[in-house]
Amino acid sequence: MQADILSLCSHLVRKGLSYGADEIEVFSVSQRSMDAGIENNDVKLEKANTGSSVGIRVFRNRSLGFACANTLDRERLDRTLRNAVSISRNSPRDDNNSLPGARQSSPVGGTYDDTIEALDEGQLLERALRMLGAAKGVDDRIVVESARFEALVGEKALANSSGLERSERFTAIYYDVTAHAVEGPLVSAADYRVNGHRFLEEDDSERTSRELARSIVRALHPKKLESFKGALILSPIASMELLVSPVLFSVDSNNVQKGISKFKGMIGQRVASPSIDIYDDGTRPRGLSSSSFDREGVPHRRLAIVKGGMLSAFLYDQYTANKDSTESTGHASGSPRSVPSIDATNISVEEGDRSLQDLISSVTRGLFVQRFSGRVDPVSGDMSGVAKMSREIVSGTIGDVVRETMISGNVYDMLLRIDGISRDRERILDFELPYFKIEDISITGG
Amino acid sequence: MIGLTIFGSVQTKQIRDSRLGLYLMRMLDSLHRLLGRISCDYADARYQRRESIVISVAKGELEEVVSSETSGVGVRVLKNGSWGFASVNSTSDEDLKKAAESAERAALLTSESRRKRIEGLAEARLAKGRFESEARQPLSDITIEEKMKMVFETEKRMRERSADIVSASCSYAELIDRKAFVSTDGAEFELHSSKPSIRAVAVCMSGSESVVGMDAIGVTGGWGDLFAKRDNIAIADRAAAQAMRLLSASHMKGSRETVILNPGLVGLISHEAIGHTVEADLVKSGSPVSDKIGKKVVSDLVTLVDSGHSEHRPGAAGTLPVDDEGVVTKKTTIIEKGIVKGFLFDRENAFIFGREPTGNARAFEYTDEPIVRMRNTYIEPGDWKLDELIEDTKRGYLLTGALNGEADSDAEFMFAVQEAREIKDGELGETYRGVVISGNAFEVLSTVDAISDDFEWDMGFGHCGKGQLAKVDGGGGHIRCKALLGGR
Repeated sequence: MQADILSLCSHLVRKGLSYGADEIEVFSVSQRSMDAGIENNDVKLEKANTGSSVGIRVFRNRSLGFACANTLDRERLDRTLRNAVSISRNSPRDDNNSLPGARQSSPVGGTYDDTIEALDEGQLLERALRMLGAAKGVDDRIVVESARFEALVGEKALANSSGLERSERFTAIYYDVTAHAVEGPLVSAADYRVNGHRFLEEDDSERTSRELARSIVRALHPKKLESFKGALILSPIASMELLVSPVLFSVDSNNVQKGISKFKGMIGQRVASPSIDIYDDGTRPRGLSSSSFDREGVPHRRLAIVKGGMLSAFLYDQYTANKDSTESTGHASGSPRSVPSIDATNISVEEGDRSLQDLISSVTRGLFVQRFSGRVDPVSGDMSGVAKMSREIVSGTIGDVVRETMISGNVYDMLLRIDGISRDRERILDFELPYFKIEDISITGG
Repeated sequence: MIGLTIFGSVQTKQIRDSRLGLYLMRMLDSLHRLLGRISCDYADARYQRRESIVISVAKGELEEVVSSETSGVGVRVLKNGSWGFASVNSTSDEDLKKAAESAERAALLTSESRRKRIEGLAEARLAKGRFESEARQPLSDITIEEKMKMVFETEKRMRERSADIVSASCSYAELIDRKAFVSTDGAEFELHSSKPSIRAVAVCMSGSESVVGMDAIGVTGGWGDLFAKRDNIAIADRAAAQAMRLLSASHMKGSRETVILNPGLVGLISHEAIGHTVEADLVKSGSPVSDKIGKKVVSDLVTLVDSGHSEHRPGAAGTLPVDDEGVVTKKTTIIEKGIVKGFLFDRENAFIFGREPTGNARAFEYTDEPIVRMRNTYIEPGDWKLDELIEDTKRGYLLTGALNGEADSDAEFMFAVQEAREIKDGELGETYRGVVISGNAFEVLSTVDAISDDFEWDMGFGHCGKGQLAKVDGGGGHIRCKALLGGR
């Protein structure tokens, strides 16, 4: 099967050259997915999808054309190919348009698990039901608004006119759960968790549901908080949104070249507290974003983005690498339904030297932020929003959940002021993150 | 010969692409044959072909040009009181048969674990016929080159407005859908709709701080409908002018204030913070309005509606004449003069609640099963003029446009606002940026004391997400109320 879609890609590359393309890349994904859904404490639906997509990118006189279709039918794909070539005749020339050449690479292990391929509809439903049972088992007041357990099996292939030909099989499971609690007329705020893995044995969906349920029950009677300035302890979920996403925006070479990255011209300079090390590693065995090659066929690698708080690298695809006269770092990303864009793979912030309990104990007055909902402007770093499911910390002790608490500040400033990192880390999708402590933040009670 | 319904009015018209019309008719036959083979309580099959174009330009460079075509069939089966769904990117008899068997198997399997079986689907006015969205200058009449030219021109215009604009971007997106739908209880329709949208973003730098100005429009209709309100140059100018205003704007301190919300924010609160709480699937799981039918929940000036049609102004992006269960859509009043009147239903939930389906079952792609979604959600306009509203406000803020945010199932919301103008003694004053509005939507709308008559749709660009996407719209006049504002 792999050989089939790879040979189709190669066939389209040859055909595209005969239609007048100077360079051509064909990327295809075929996959089968099944998911079982829970809604309102009951089974909702089980569904299955089988499909394929092919994305064709051509350059003609360095002008871009792109078209895609969800088929492996050669006749329809011929139309798609002609469409891509036709678009390239009318788009503007850009001298940085080119495709990467073939590079030596070895396959990344741990992208495929045959136990996921062997999962049947009944087993999938059983896992979704266990998520429901785990949440309800914590407290009967819990209402699981929705839960979903999905299994995905697929293969991807890429061929280009520089002689690059690659293919790979992959599997994944994803699960998410959203719930709230009801006590008489009282309805708590809702919260959710999501995760995913390459291997079935890493399925942690029951524990995830239980922890969500515990957090929601604690939030049934939130306490009102007065405004103050104090410390924040950010959970991995909150720091993903608040701290890591803006960093990833700013190390995206496309944003650097557009002049909207805070880190422009700062390689080798301090961007975070000295204890911060951030790595991107698309080769990590079993990593959810691990793969032998990126969206342009370039091999992934382990890359230090921030080392000892100093900025050490930007993420490049072939286009932005051409602009900066450097090499792609293997960060072209996306599906066959769009032109490649830059994205990180598996991100890890290295562990600190303190326990989470120790971090909490060191806070005189502050807020443990479970989740953040609000505006983070990755360009300026200004952020303002609501700390969700968050708990007050007084004299080193974690207390009640608080409601409608707004936090604000600048995330790039916060990165420089991180003064505590936990040893404990959590893996959420393709992120592995610790807890962070930051002092002197404006906290506005509702 | 079945009649063709043009959204908003009924008339007979030849489908533009007669070859495609024939294909859709053959598709209907094929779907009928498919459903005939399934042994079930109910089944439906939906063929969807989608052509889309996305063009993005930033700083004078083409970032993206994507022409995409997807097609396939989704089959939904209700058997032994439970649903199964399967989709396939093919229309061959063999693949459709496999998909139908998979859906049937899934229904049987889930029925064994269901606590409550689905006892039935509510009766509804089911669609029969062809539906086509009215379009001034159909999108297919404009070449992709012309579309690219427009995007380049818009982006360039923003950068030319001022040397302070260091970066600009413009993106254009269109979705052209053709659907064929049949159900075992008699719905049978073909649908052709087109939904173009444009967004312009201008960025200024204030020291090391970036400031963003934005304008965006999304409609149901054609090229002429997209630019009916203002052309691409006016869109560029609005985005650029806003960025320039915000460049010299200050940051405000957080406090509870009187605010006037513009139609974009009115639509967003109506949709995100209220609308989701009245979707029947969420009502069942414990929404704050579950037991509030007939009760007053907001100011009696507020009448909140969700509609498949485009009242007050044409071209709302969430317009659809028939939903993805074959139910003919209508205007649904959710809150009338402050009192909860109804919820939004698909057929399954309407049966449970003993109500009539409202035509809110929607699926984004053929791979998606229909779920309860909004369409065009708005607050009915009042009789104030905006100028009078501002003049009548002693102290407050005029809030314009939303950047992002979210709302919870308890109607707590938080939205980042594009621009805030201070109002002092009835006059507009200083501009603020980085403002966030938050509160409980029912509490905030309980404080409404005036609504203007200048109705606009203002959230047609982009999509609503609820596991799957949906094109929606929202709007209203300007409303005056009280809310918590956050700053820096």
